[in-house]
Amino acid sequence: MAKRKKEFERKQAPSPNLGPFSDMTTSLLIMFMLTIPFIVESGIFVSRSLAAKRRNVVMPKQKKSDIKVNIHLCADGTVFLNEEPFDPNRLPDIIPKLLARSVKKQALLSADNDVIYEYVIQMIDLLKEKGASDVLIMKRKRSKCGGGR
Amino acid sequence: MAGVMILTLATLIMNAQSLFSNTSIKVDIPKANVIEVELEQSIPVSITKEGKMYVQDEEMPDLQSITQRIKELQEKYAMENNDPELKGQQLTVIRGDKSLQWGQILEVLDAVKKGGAKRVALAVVKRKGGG
Repeated sequence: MAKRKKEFERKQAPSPNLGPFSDMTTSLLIMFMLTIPFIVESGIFVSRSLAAKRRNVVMPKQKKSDIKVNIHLCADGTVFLNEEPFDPNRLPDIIPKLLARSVKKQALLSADNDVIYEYVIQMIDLLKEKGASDVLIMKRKRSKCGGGR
Repeated sequence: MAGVMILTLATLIMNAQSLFSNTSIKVDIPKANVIEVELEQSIPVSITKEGKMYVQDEEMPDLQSITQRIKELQEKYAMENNDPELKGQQLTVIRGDKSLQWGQILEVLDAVKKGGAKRVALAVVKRKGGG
C-alpha cells in the first residue's frame, strides 16, 4: 500500500518548467552567434607571400610613377597627400579618383613614429575600402612634418 | 540541465576572444571594415598597452629575441611540411594594442621581417556596422 502511495506521489509531483530556461539559453546562443564576427580576429596584409615568384610567373616591372597615392601621417594630425598638405576629410573623395589613374592600384603609406597605431590602421582601412589593391608601408628616415619623428 | 547550458554559454562568451585567436594574451585590437585574411594557423606576435612583447604566449625581452623565435618557428613550419621552400611562408600576425605608437609597431614589424617572415598581417577585428 505504502509503495503504491509513493509511486502515485512520484507520478503526481510537478516537473520543473524548463520553458524560461530554454528561452534564455536560446537567446544567449543567438547573441553569441551574432557577436562572433566582431570578436574573431582577422588581418590586413602588410607583406604577402611571393607565391607568384615561386610559380615562376614573371611579374611586370612596377614603375614608380604608377603609384598615385602617397600618404604621410604626421603626429600633429596633418596629412600629406603626394607630398602636399591635404585636408583629411577630403581623402575619401580623392583617393578613388587617384587610384583610378593607377594600373596596379597600389598606395604608399608612411607615418611619424608618434602617430597612434589605431589612426594608421584607419588610414590603411580607408585606402583598402576605396579600392587600393595593396598598401605599401614605407619607413621615412626624415619626417616632413614640423617637429615629427 | 538548463543551468549547466547557460553556464557553458556564458563561459564561452566570456572567453570567446582567446578561443578564436591563437594566443591567450589579451590586447585591444584596432577595428577595421576591410578584412583581408582569416587567421589560420598563424604565429601571433602580441604587443600590449604596456609595451610587453610576446611571440605566441612567450614573453620576449627584446626585438632580437622576436627575430630569433620567428626564425625558429618558420624553420619548424618548413620542416613539418617537408618543404624547405615553405620557410617564411607561415602567416605572422602582429597583434598590437590600438593605443600604441606606430613606431613601436614598425620596430616589431622590422624584427619579424628580419626573422624571415614573408607573410605578415596586422590583426584587426571587424567594425560593427561596417561593410
